[in-house]
Amino acid sequence: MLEVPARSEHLGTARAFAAAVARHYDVDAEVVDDLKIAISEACVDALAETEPLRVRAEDLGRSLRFEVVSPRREGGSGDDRPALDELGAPARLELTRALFDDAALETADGERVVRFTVPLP
Amino acid sequence: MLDSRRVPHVSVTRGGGNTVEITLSHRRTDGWDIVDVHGDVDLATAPALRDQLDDLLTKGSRRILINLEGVSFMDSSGLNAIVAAMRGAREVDGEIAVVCTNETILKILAITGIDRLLTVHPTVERALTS
Repeated sequence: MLEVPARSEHLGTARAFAAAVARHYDVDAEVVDDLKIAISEACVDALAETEPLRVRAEDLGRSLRFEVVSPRREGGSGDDRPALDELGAPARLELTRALFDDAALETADGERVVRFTVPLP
Repeated sequence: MLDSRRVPHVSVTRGGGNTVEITLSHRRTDGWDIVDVHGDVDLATAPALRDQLDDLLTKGSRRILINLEGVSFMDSSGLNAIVAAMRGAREVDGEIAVVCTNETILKILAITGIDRLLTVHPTVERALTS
């Protein structure tokens, strides 16, 4: 698991972590590129929190499950979203889902989790 | 005649020594303002690209070619910057085009439908002669 401050300058670290895990399992380079996008998209909505965001990777045998975990904001209005946000949060999740079709957003127990799996070769 | 002006290397260093980098350079050729982008375009660096494109439009540019051949990573933040520039260009009857052969970037342009809204060229030369 990787834990980084929820700031944009750490997005590259989150991507690098996920990519390193995937490469360790010999995931195809094209899929690694997709994974980096999915991780980056999942992290965007977690930014600007006071608590760090976490990127978790789990070996499920035939796939890797990645989760981006952040505290869930109560009563969030979306006003804190990044200024450059023409596409918006729903579109980001749809983009992730287009890359990994089981991508899902869950909120429970005070946490917001974006979760998807990457098939192993 | 080529008029190559290089925008200073843009890098942002924040607390903890983390540096995120994007390099933007600008040149003008055959009536096009070409913005050559190198590095990662994400939430941390996309504002620099947006600022560069806005600056060109403000200064009267009406044909901007965004060269993404040097981009190693781009997510929706980069798409956002391009879409914002497209809207700005449309308001002044300008034109935005992109040079890109990176399969992953082309994929997200297609997924988001942005590839239907702007012209994507395989090379700068093809863009200038199209």
